Amino acid sequence: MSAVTKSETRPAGTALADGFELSRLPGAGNAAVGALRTAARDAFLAAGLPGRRDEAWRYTSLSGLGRESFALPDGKAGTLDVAALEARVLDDVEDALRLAFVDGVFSPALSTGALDAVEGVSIRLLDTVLADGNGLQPGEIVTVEESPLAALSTALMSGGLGLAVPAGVAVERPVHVVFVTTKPGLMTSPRLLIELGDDAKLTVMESYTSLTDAAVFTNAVVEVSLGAGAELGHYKLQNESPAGYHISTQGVVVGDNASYDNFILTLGATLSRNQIRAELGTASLCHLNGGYMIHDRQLADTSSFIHHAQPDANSHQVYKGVIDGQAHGVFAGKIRVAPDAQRTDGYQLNRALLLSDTAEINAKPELEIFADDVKCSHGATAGSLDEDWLFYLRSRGIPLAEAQALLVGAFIEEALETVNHEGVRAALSTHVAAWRGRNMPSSLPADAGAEAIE
Amino acid sequence: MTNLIEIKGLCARIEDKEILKGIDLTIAPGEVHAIMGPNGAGKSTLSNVLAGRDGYEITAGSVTFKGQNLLEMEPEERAAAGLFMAFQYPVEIPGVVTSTFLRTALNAIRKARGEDEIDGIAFAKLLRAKAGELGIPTDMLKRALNTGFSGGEKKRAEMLQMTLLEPAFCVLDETDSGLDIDALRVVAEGVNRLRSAERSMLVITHYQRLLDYIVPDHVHVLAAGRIVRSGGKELAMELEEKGYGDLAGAAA
Repeated sequence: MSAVTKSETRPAGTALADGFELSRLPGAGNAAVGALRTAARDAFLAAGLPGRRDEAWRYTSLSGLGRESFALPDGKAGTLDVAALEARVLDDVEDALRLAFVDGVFSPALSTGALDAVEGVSIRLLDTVLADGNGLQPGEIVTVEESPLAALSTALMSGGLGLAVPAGVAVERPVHVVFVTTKPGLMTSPRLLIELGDDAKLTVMESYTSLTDAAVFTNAVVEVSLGAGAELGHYKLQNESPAGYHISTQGVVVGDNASYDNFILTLGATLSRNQIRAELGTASLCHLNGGYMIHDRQLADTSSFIHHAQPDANSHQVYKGVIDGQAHGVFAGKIRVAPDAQRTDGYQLNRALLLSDTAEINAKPELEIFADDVKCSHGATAGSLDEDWLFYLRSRGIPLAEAQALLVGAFIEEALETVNHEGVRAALSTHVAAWRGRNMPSSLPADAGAEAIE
Repeated sequence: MTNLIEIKGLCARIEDKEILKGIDLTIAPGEVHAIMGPNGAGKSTLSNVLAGRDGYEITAGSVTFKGQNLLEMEPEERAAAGLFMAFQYPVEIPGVVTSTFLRTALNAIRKARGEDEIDGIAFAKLLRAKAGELGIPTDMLKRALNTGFSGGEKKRAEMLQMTLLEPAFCVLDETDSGLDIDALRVVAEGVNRLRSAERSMLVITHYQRLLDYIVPDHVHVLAAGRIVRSGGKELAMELEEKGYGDLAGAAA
């Protein structure tokens, strides 16, 4: 009875942190980590889950998440074999080193090599990073104040990697980090820490998937630090349980003349949010792109904040979504141009393809410009499949369902073209085709798009 | 029944506007008919109604194609049955690679006709050969459908589709519009290569110029929604000399 009374007075969703036990979490021996976790837990308990009165969460209600209860990882991975994983991951990124985490636990068996398999990049388990305090540490880029969800993730972080490339080293072989949840009702708090020295180069892909259709909660934090002239290709696939919640809070510091190329493909979860904040150095380049394909009652939220703090930087964002059923897309993109950030070039576009009358999109671009010599533009479009295009395809004998599937594929493929890395692009394209195959009845060949015209 | 297509008393409107007011036209296999007429005569409406575009209400009449009621068929069923319309303004479809589209269309039609689908390698070979005949560089086939194509390239792409899909009946909707004389000649050669004893064509045009290159068996004059005159190829010459003025007046 007293428990019920207590829960009524606590801020929303704070029961999610109830499993918090510092001694059982990685890095317990490091006092700094202990202090960070405790501060993060306190921040989350004080704030609770953001509500819709919070402008940043106006269109995305977490009330469903707040009603769920989740178990924390117990350090034991659920059983799963390589074939089951590969069926979910589909075409792995060609030539990539795959490093897999199952229910928050690193799985050497499901990985395609050891942590030191790729020359030039130091890859260490989060546990090691927390234990010795070396390298980029959690909280350095995504602070406890960033958001209550990031704070919750920081309190409970477990599973993940620190990747570091020293100055001047270009790593060709991509690293593919896969997070799999197998247990219904599990909450994981993975963390990726990516640190590139000056002029270093790396390609990282993250995949999040689940082998259960039940509610799971992935609350990830990704922190990226790029030295001057560094180049990071950073890509992500989210293909989690249709009843799952996926929250990712990502902070990126792009050094002077550095380049950051990001693409996120969202297919899964009943509610997903990718929250990205990027701080741009002088003459840096930042591409935040993405595609989402959602149906039923899925909600996919992308929330970006690009801070042009220095002059001559270029940011470019294109998000394209296919929304069917009663699904709901949300895009909020803010570009802030500081007084010193002269000659900023900022571009932002959100395009939604609505496949049903009940599909919904909210797009909210926001420009805050304090410099006078800047070029910034934004746009948002929403519409259904073009009738003239459909008629044209049908007049060539292509049945309606196939014509629709072809146009939906083309819509997303166009977004994928922004992905700089060819192997990643091909892997993501396979997932787009698979989604189309599952959700759009059609007999199109799966390889449409890869023709033998050489 | 030897006619390929029989149009009888066809009346159609868009919203409240009557456009076609009783079209009668019969085309036998192998024949090339031309329909000429001034702007607003109903030429595009006729081709759109035949291809099955939405937005037109058929208020009277019938169209029988290979013995079937064409007006009840979906656009893709018409294509599978052998009808092909070369568009006046082919749409640009970004993201759909031309070669992918062509293979999808060809296989959809083959499937509807109960034939085996063509595999990627055989298709590539066929496509290269047919594209070569029309002077279409393979580079164009890798680009998004019609996207950024010049007017001439678009019309050549239409001819390529027509060649690959091997229709029984082609409707060429003002194929000459926007083409210079060289492009017109290439397109016309493509059309002429497809002429056969079985394949019929309906060439819709405003100008007689196209008919110098695609010489029709019959010429009809469409004015204010009706065919007001029919004759041989010499009728086109007469129209070129005298203009549509008298005929449009006669129809009103």
